[in-house]
Amino acid sequence: MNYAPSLWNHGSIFSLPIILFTNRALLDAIPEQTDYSNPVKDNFQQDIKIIKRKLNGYVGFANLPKQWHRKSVRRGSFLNIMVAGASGLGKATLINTLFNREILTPGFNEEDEEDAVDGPNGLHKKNVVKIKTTESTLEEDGVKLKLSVITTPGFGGSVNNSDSWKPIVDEINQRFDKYLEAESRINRSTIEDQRIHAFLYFIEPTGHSLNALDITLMKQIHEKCNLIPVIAKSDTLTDEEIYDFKQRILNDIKFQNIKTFKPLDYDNDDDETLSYTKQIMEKLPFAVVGSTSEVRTADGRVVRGRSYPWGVIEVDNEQHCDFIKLRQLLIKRFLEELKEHTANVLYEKYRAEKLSRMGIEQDQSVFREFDPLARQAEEKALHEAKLAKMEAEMKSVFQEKVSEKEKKLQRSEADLFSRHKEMKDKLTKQIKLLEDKKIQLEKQKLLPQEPTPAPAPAQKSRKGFLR
Amino acid sequence: MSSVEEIGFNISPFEFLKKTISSSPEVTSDNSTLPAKTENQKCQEETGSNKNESEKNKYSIVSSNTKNIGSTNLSKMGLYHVPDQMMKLAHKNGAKFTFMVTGCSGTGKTTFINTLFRETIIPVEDEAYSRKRGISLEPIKIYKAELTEKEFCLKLTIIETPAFGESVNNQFSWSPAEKFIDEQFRLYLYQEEQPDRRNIFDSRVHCCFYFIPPTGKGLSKLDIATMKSISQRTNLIPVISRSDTFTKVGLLSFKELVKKDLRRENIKVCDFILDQSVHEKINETMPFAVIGASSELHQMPDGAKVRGRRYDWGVAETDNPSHCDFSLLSEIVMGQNMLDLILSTESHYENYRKNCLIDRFNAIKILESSTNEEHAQYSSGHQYNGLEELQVFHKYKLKDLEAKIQETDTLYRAKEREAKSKFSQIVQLQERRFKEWKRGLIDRQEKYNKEIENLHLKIIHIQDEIQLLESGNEALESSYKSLSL
Repeated sequence: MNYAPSLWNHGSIFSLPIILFTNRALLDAIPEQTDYSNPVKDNFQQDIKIIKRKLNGYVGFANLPKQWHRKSVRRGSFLNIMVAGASGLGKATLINTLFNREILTPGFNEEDEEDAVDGPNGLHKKNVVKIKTTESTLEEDGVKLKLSVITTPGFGGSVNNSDSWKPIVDEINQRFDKYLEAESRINRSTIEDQRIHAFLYFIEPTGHSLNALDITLMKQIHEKCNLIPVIAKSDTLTDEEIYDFKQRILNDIKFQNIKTFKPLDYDNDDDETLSYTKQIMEKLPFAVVGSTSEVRTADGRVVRGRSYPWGVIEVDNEQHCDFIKLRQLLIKRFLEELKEHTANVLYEKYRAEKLSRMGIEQDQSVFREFDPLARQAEEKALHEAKLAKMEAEMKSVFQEKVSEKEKKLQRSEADLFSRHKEMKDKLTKQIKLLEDKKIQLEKQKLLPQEPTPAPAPAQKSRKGFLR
Repeated sequence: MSSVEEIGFNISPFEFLKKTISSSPEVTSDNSTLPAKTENQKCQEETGSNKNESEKNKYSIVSSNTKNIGSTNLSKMGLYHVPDQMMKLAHKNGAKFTFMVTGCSGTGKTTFINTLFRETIIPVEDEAYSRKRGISLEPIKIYKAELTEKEFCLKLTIIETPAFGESVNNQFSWSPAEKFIDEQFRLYLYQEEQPDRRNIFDSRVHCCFYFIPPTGKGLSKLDIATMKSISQRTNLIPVISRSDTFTKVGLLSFKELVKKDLRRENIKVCDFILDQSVHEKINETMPFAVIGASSELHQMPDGAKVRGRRYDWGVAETDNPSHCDFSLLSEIVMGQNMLDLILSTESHYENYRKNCLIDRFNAIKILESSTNEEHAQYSSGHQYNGLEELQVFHKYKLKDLEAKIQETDTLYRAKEREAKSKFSQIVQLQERRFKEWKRGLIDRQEKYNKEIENLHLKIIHIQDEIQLLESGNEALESSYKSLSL
């Protein structure tokens, strides 16, 4: 019965932390506040009723997982796996055994390590850890896998290993950064996923417990990668020793709060899936033996394994080592989940922290599905406000222009009046003067008189003074 | 040979699937159920392992002293199971599907959806109620459903456009639909660029059914304009509704008519699906003629119960491929190519995102260069990396951006135009007033000028008189002088 989805459509559930979703989250107990493994599912608008139905007839959408299957076969898959651990622990051999192919040449790392350690400065040279990437494409049963194995030759090989972990962490970060950069681009048509999906850490089969370097490295990377600890060369330990060693390692891991890869338990998983997962995860840290050579056992079978005078240890025998379980985890069972967890949880966490450090602010308002009616009203209001503003602006500009023009016209009107008046007055005055003079002259005509001075020069004729 | 994989608890995912399936009783009838597939897979597995045996020498490392290849099964890494993981993850995560239905009312949109899912997802009364009460119809109505088919949960969102084609002026009928699609893209984009995106949700529209009324006369202008707009935004699927009103020949010729119109108008159907074979498959049969089913099943003469519509002369069967394209359409949308629709939306989103960000980037460049002296930083020569680009985008507040985008809205543009034209009328009126005023002034000026001129004339006249008088006086004077001499 699939009851998970029914959790997230009651309005009340939204306020709850979404930890409810998986058992894993519950088991984890989650020390930090931010748990990136459980994205909140859709924030449904609360006022939209969600119709829930279980369909009986054939509708067809249940074929979607099958469509994914088909697509996945066609596209193939990819995996980036990082392998770290002291030299000589059989890392290359194990990788070759896992993928049943010579991916890493055994010993090629050692050459590099010698190079690094015995270089000109020899033992005193610090930071001799190198990062090497080997890419290969595998195909089996028509399914392609692009495999990238990242090795760390030189890790733990110096006298002073205090900084040995640094190049490894840098490499992991760089790969995240590269992805983040590509993902943020305007044009992101081709993003190559180079993030580390699984980190195989090889623990030396000392039978004691984790050493300081083991712990330092694991603590540095456990929140960035799916950490999978393995006990290398476990054929050097007896069954009881392995059991005790595993207990001690697990205690250390627990004590140091180190997170190792744990598959998600889904609420709709059935018992069989759960027990299958449990059987794999029980074996953590995987005690493994690697061998690509085939040897004949006492009872005549030919197996991959290592032949000792006292018997043959079989790689592919679950009674002999945990190799099968490790391979089930890495490939058969959880390959896609390793990738999904890297992308959805580990990378997201890295990204969120990095962007916040860069000063990019979170805008929480965009994580809400909007109600089209409210949106429409909002929009309408916005439009109206905008229109009103536009109209007001236009009006004010217009008013200004109108009053300007009005003033100008009034001015010219006044001007016209005043000049007209002035002119008129002047002319009338002149007329009066002239008329006076005329009268005088007429009088003079009657009684002889002293000659009057010459008349003022004629008024200049002015016409159309306004135009 | 003892195969470790076979002993104990190790159960392959197929067996697990088979078990879950066989425990549910109702899945035996249809041909595409999981058990069939499981058998199929088993076959594949067998042939696959045989093949592997022959290919083994190619890449497995065989030591020189042993040539026996008995452990083939053990040394297989199990890549075959990787696609199964995808399938299982998809199954566990469920899916989200969002589609839109649009078209004039009465074309059977509601019935179509309810027939498609065999469930009442949109109550028929809803719309009828509003219509009767004269409540104005919403431009966008959202329906949500969670449907479970064979343990697989689908979160369905259906967007309907009740007001489409309901106004007298349908000039903007399609605008809410196109806006909605764009908005969902933008919403996803905004979410995607936030630092913490655990709450991200996907409301992008995967496809849109457009319901062509069965007129028999080709597409109307509204049909064309709407489909054109939609086909540029999401996977358009044209549907001829109520196709039981056509005879077989009539339907064929109508389909041809519609196809011709679509070709002429360059409207692309499901243009974002990149898989050529799927694209062809859809374009071959589209427009899809459908017959909605009434709620009850109809008993056929041979006893079978079918969905469809009963007439006196027979039953138009929904699921009968010779009656209509319903079953084909349903297979495309869900059974076969749902993933293609989902993934094509993803790739179309990339395009949308790119264009949107380029606009945003340029807007910020302009903004910054006008306010900031250091605009050398934004000169075209500088190459940005993704993070720098992201930082630049975040300088533009989403609210401002949205407001800016709103301005380009067609409805708003129209309103703006209207307001402007109204305003220009006022301006014209005012201008006319000024003209009259000015003309009045000119008239008055002319009048004044005349007045002044008259006065002036009068002066000249008087002056003349004075001169005359003076000359008279002079003559008098001179006579006096001569007299006194």
